[in-house]
This record gives sequence, C-alpha cells and structure tokens, in this order.
Amino acid sequence: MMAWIRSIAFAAAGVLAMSACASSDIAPRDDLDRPDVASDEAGLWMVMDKAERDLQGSSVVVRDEALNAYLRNVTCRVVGETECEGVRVYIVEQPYFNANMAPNGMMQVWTGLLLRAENEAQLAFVLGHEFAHYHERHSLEQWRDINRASNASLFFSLGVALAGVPQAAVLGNATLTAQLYGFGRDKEREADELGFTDFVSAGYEPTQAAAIWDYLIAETEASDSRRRQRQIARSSIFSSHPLTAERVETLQAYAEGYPSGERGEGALAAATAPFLAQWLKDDLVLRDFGAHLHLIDHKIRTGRNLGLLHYRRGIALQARRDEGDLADALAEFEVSVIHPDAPPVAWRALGEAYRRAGRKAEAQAAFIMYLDLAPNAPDRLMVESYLDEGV
Amino acid sequence: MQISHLRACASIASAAFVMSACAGIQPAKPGPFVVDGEYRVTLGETWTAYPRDRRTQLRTLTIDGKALNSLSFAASLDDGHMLIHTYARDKLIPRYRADMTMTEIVAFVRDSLSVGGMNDARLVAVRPEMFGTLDGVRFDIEGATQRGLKMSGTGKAAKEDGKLHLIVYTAPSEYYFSLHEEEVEAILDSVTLQ
Repeated sequence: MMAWIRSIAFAAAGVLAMSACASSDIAPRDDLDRPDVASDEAGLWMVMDKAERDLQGSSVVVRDEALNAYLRNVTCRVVGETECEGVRVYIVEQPYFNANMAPNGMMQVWTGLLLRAENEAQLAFVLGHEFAHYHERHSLEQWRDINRASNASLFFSLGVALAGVPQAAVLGNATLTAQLYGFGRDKEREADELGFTDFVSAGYEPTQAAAIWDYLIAETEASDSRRRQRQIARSSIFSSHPLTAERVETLQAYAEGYPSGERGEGALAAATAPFLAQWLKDDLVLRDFGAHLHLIDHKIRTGRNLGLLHYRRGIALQARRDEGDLADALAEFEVSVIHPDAPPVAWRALGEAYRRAGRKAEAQAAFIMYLDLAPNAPDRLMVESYLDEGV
Repeated sequence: MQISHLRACASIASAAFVMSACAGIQPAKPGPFVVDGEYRVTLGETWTAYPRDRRTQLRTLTIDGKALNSLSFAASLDDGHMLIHTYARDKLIPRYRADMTMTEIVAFVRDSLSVGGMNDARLVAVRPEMFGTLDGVRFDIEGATQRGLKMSGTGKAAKEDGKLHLIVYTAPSEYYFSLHEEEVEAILDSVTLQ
C-alpha cells in the first residue's frame, strides 16, 4: 500500500513541477486544415486520431441516427456551418456530466450531459463552451507544457501504471485527458465568454448558460459522495471545469445585456425521450442516491415523462433502503402507473411492492396488468410463478 | 473479433498461464467442487480455479482465461455485500440486501457487472429455477466490453436465511460462450446444498 502511495506521490510531484512551466500564447484556429506534419501540433492530432479510431469501434458510442442528427444540428447551429465541417460529434454512453472536444475535431458528448440539460439552450451553451476550447487551441497549449516538462505525460503514466491503477481504456489515456482538458480558470472563463457569444448569436435564451452550471452545482451538493462534493471548485478527470458561484454570476451578468431567446425545451425532450429510461438506469448504477434523486426531482418539476420518472424514483428509493424508503417506493409506483407513459415494468415493480407488503390481491392485479402490457417480458416465467403460487 | 481484442485476450491468457505456476491457482478436476462448505457442483471438465477473493468472496474458475470464460461462485453473502471491489474508496457500489426480491437480486447482479465494465448490461431472460432444494432464479445477460466485444452471461441465485448463493458465467458471445455452454449448464443443474 505504501509503495502505491509513494508511486502516486512521485508521479504527482512530476506533474506539479510541470505545471509551473510558462505557457505559450497560441493564436486561435483560423482554418480547417490539418497542421503541418513537422509540427508538434501534428503529433497531438495523431494521438487524438488514434483515440478517435478506438472510440469509433467502442460499444459506448450511441449510434442512433436520429439522436446523432439532432446533436449535430445543435452543434452546427452554435458553431456555424463552416466551422462545423471540421467537427465530428460522438455521443458516448457514460452517466457522468461531461463533454470535450479534441484538437483534431472529435467532440464527445456524454449521455450524462444529455440527461441533465433541461433544454436545448443549456446543451448548446456547453457545446459552444467546448468548441471555444477547440477554437482557441487550448489543448495545444497544454500539450506544449506537457512536452516542455520532459514528457511528463509518459512520466505520470508510468508512475500510475507502476502503482497498479487501472485506466479507462476506450476513453483514451486518462492521465493525458486530464492534463489536456484540465484547463485553468482563465481558460474556462475565456471558453465561457466565447461559448456564450456563439450561443446567443445562434438565438438561444441567454439565461440558460448560467442555469446549466447552477443546476450542476446544486446536484453536486446533493451528492452522497464527499469526493464529488469537493469537485465543485476544483479540476479532475470527470470534472475538468472548476464550477464556482463566481462563474455562474458572471454568466448571469452577461445575460442581462441580451434579449430573450429560444430555450428549445420540447426539442431536447423529444430527441432524448427514447433514451431516458436507459440513461436513468445507467445513472443509478453509480449508486449516488442523493445526486440521482435530485436529478429525478428536477425532471419531475418539468412535468414531462412523469410515469417513467416516478417509476425510476421508486426504483432508486427501493435500492437505497433507508428507513421508510420501501413504503415511499410503493407510493411512487402507484403514482407512476396513473400516467400514460408509465413503462410496463412499473406494474411489475408495483406488484412486487404489494407482494412485499402482503397485499396479495393488489399484487395479483398488478402482475396481470404487467403481463398484459408486456406479453414477451423477459421475466414472464418468473411473474407467472408468483401468480401460480397465489402471489 | 477485432485484432486489439484478440491481442488483449492473448496477453490475458498468457498472463493467466504464467500465473498458473503461482501458489493458489490450481486445477479443479472433474468431479465435486465445494463452494465455501455451503453447496457443491459437479465439474465435467478440468477448470483452473483461482483462490477465493477475500473482498468479494467470489471463487472463479476458467478454462481459457478469465477474459474468455469466467465462472464465479459465491455462497452465503451477507446483507450489504458487494460483488465489486475498487481502489476508489469513495466509489459507490451496488450492495446486496437480505430482503431483496428475486427481481432485485438479478438487477443487483446486472448492475455489479455494469460497474465491473460490462457496458449496456441487460437481462434477456429471468425465470424461476431451483438452486438445489431452494427456490431460486435463473437469468441470462447480454452486454459488451467498452471496446465493443459482445459478452453473454448466465447464472442462478437463491437466498438461504437471507444470505445469497450465486453462480455467474460470462464469456464473449462470439465462439467462447457456446464453447463451454453445455458444461456450464450441467454445472448449474448439479447444485446440491451441503
């Protein structure tokens, strides 16, 4: 264990030394051409080209044509059609709030972001923010710092490998990713400002830029994970954008100078509706009940998908099992099935909750309804066995 | 199957071969295989048996290497038990609860596999099946590794006095799952409580 700690400390010391190096001032991107093959930027592009090829073959990429077309339209609306020619958008099935854009034009939008954006305007602001990092070539500046510090990425990777810490395979070298996208506050502010300009120019509602960061701070504060709570104001692999009240206030101040715009609430909701059940299930796998319930409650307040949301709320309470949670879960399932969008499994969950409570007749009715609604359910034989036993 | 997967599988297999010389990894020969003194199954082939993991309490057998086929057994898991362990002390992991229904138990297994790296893990069949003399549940799972290799799984579980007995088999869907499917089915059918 001590050896592990020593290895990490050794590697971290190298990175700290690296971060002290002076950064260069790089001109923004002004064309869509690949960099000169003799340049260090070309080396960075090659690394990212390899990461992109790995991503293309991965099972985490959401390949639904309609959703991809929708996301591309939003991206192009924010960054402009000409600039959009150099951008390739990948939807990545990961429950964390994240998006990033590599210097070669590969943009990753994680499903955790699509799940949390309340409307198209909020999503558009985040895309504009990431595009601003790309356009300003912020990661090239990071890359030069890395190389200037005696190839610290390799140094750190070896340190971590020796320590036996696994890395996320398909999402690229986690250490390199953290360094490339772990921008400082000045660059985050710059990306906020430029992203905001693009986003309002595209006709989106200005107040929604601050709203998405504001929501994220609230969800993080609701988290069961102390580590995640501490991430609010610092940089890390999964939270590379230091989120502070000051950033929210700055965006709110920007918004005051602009007329109202489009929120696009219905558009995002319609595009993501077919995936909502799966993404909420993915989010619960993280077992951060505080953040998960905060997210569901936030979505319930929009008044959409209430059958699904109350079902998922019940499932979360059932999994948490704090005092009173099982009774509350039963109540959530009862509310869920009132709504026309309730998934058939909500009836099975209700049947199981009644069965647990000894309410046999109600359990039987719920199970029968489930099998009527989902005659090819994968657990049909299981449910039929309950009915055969008299529930 | 992609070349990178083959390469990864080959390196895992060779690592497993080297490790087979280490103490603790032993052949499990055809015949009875007892799991923590709680139940036994009958093996029809020779498997490689890894030592019981102290944290997860899983005992894992493989024939071609863990990445290519992995048959894991657990017995009498207590309330609050986790099937995954991680170096991230603050990471939140699915836990078994003694009052779980059969539906919740298979969801717990599915979620544990998801946390363990099976992307888009989904239950494709859940049905009642005896676990020895206990009422149990049988399940089939499909998913993929993050690199895109499709995976299949099957298993069964039952509760005895609130404690969980569990058997899970996973392998790449292409070729390897069916390679030992008949053997695994026979093992699952052979459960006898001690």
